[in-house]
Amino acid sequence: MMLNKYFICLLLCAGSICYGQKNSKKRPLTDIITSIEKQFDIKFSYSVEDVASISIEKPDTKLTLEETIDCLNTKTLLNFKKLDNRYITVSVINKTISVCGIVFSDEKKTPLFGASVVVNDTQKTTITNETGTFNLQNVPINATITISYIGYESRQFKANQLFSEVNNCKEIVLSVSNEELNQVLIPVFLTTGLQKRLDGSIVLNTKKFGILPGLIDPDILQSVQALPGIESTNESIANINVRGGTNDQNLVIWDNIKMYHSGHFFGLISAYNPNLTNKVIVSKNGTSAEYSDGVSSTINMFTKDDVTNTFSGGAGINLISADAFLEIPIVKNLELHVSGRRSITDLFNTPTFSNYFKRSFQDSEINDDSHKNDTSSDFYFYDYTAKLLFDLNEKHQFRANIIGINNSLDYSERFTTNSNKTESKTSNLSQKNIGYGGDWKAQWNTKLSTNLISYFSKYNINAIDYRVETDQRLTKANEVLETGAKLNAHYKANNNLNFLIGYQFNETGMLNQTTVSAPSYEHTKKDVLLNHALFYEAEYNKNNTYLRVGVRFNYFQKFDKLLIEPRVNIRQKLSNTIALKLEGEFKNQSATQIVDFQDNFLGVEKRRWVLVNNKDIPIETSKQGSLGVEFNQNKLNIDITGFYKFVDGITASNQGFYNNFQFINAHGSYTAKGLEFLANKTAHKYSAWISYTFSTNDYVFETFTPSTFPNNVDIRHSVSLGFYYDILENLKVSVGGVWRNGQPYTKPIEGNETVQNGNTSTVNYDTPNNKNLDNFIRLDVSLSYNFKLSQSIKASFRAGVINVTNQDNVINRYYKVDPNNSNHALQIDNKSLGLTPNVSFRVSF
Amino acid sequence: MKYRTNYFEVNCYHGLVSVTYKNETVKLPPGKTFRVINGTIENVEDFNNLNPSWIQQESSFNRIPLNQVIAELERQYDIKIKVEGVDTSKLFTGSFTHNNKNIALQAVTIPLKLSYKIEGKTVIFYNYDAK
Repeated sequence: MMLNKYFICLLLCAGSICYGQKNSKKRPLTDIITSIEKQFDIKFSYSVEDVASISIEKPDTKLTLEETIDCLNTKTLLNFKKLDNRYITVSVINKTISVCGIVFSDEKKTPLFGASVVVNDTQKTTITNETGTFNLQNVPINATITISYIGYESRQFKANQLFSEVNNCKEIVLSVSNEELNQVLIPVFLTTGLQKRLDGSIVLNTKKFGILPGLIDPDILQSVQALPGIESTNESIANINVRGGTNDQNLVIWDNIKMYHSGHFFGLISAYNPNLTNKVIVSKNGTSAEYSDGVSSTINMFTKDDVTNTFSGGAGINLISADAFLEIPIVKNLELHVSGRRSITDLFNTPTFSNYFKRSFQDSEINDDSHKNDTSSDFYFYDYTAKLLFDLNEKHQFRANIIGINNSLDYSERFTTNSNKTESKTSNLSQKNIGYGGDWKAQWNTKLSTNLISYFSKYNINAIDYRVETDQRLTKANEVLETGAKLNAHYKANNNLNFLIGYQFNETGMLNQTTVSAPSYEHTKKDVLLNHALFYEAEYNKNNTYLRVGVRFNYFQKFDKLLIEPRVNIRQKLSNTIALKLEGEFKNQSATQIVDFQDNFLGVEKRRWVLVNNKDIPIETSKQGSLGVEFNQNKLNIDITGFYKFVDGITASNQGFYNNFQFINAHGSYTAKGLEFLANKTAHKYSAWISYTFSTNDYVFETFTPSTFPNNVDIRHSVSLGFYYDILENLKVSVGGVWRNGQPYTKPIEGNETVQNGNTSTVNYDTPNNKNLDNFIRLDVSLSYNFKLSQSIKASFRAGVINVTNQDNVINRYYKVDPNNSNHALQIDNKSLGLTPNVSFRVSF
Repeated sequence: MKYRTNYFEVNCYHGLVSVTYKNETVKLPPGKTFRVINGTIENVEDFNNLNPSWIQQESSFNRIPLNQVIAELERQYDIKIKVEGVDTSKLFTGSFTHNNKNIALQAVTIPLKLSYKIEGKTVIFYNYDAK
């Protein structure tokens, strides 16, 4: 109240300075200017159109010239500026004004206390007081002001709409948002643009993305690795291990299309253009019943979904690729969004590319040192998206999407034969994922809405391999074709309770093929699987309780098998600062990847998708439970979560063993248990966080001896630290590091390193995963600078360095029989990225 | 009296001035202006000055298109003004001094949301946004 009184006084005082008497009549500004010119013997210059229609009360004639100018500045949206003692200019350039407003919630017009008011693209913010009022001074006249309050639709205004002198504090009504009950819990989590929602899922808003150590793009698959429980043991986004799972256990969805391929450059860069994704939701547990597959996590990406009617776009370039996107309004309710990105590394070489190339192809034929032949390689990738948005009316929205991801590698070897003839042969590898999707959202009445989704996804990897030594042509292919449809019906019982009922249908086909030219050989395996699912869910949010309970019925037509999966996600606030979280889920997946070190794609991609057959490849099922405590005060968030996860139905070939079980068919399970800790303090200018995971992860394969042994990704302790700081309003730096235990590997038995089986020797491995690699350490830094090229064109410059200390990390170790001495096993070490700088420059309008 | 190409203006400060334009005679009392632009007689608001602005060593304009103001700047300072993407038909009201080129240029450019750069005898006007 004190503040309010003070403000009223301020207004009155300001008024009394400007005007001699109250209630004086408004007069045209041109007249007032003429009379002030006479009074002080000065000259005003102005553009006729700026001043024409303005009328104000005449400032008191007792005022000095300076006071008169101040008065004109506060009373109008114009900038009165003295050039010297005689000349005064009137313009709209660099005009700043005071704004105010009173914020109400709808219906009863109750003031909203604590609503946030932000001047976009500046650090200027405030919150409303208990009467719902806010004031901000020195706001640029063309600035946009966003007013938001949790649970309400945000509203935006131009500063001049809220100009305090003209509008006498505009009354602003926020309407209750129709959005999900699953609201944003922590608006700035680690960095701006990352948020945490009530159900524990993480949302990345790429447009608002601040800075994370080492990153020059808001790459979601890189960003999530800052979170506890999420690792990439081989530092690749094609291999993200969530709570001890393999990468194929992550469900990746792009605008409702299931994707089978996530990384460009065979795993170093996310294949989804981060500048186009509007929102990414990552959940580790307690997933909605709407989703199946991905027993370890769900990564759900959404592109911009609103018809904005504004033409906008952006473009950027970094040391790996260049990209551009455009949002094109066609007619009022029809809009097209397109984007494209391509690597530039086949045009010119950069140090970033050399390091990525070395890292990606170190274990393949492409980088194989034993070839003394003259070799050359040509690598490129590209991706594109297009989205057509059509709003038939306010109730019906239609969307159509297409996404294409492509990686291609040409490799050639040239050698001279004994008879001095030169022969050159090529190998080619292409990896593609194309997806099409369409959806129809309908709001039938205030309570009932439906969403019909259909999609088609096609993944291909093809390798043509000319083996120089034997003149053999070998082709290998792995293809996935998936069509799916889903109908969701949402029923909003009241403001606190939603129901969801839905049906999903999927048809997945997979092909694995190998052909050899000499001798002629062909092997083709094709599988098709039809799945149906029904799901129900209730979501409730009131006072201190958030609850989402669902159940999913999955029916596998081929095996006549029904799996019933409960899903639970509960958050209960115990006080204003402490909350308890309980999550649990049963999940399954019917498509998995097998790893084959022998029969692979040029050694670059060793994984291929296969479908379950309910015999030697069973359906993977998971049961997971977690319990956590969250503490939240003064922008300090602490989250401690314990989890237990049991995944059954994994196969030995799914895990990629480098031990005595490498060639044995078996299925088993793994159990991961652990404790995740995250503390994050955010403030106006900085954010600091530490995340720590302690976990154990063991396999059980009944047919093996020993039957229980550590998981390939059993990492006992893992710590990541990060810090970012706004040096200036538009200059941010970020530093962060990762320290964790090395992953397990298997050593050969000393003194008896190989065994002979007929004519071939194999490595004679000791107890599986009985040793651990050295600890992994990496320090990353990055810097981001934002500026304006013009009033409407924004630009940003970002630089990042991965592995600043150039730490030599071994991320995988295995053995092979020494070709020169079959009694000896050679140790092969795969190394992580060395010191790798990258810079990017982007513009957007 | 001001007379330029396509521009003719008479301001009366003292007494009564009689102007004949295309057989039409107008009598101007003090404070009144008679103006013809491109052959058309314009209505002009009364002015307040007791002295014509050239006594103050300045040029004054009332609702005059920018191109006319530019022509006057060029004449007063012996410069050539080039415009880049500027709408020169915008109407300007105001004055500029004859004694300080920068103050004079600012007095014209700022209200019209323009910036300028001086390159020897040439001055370039461009839109303030387009840095």
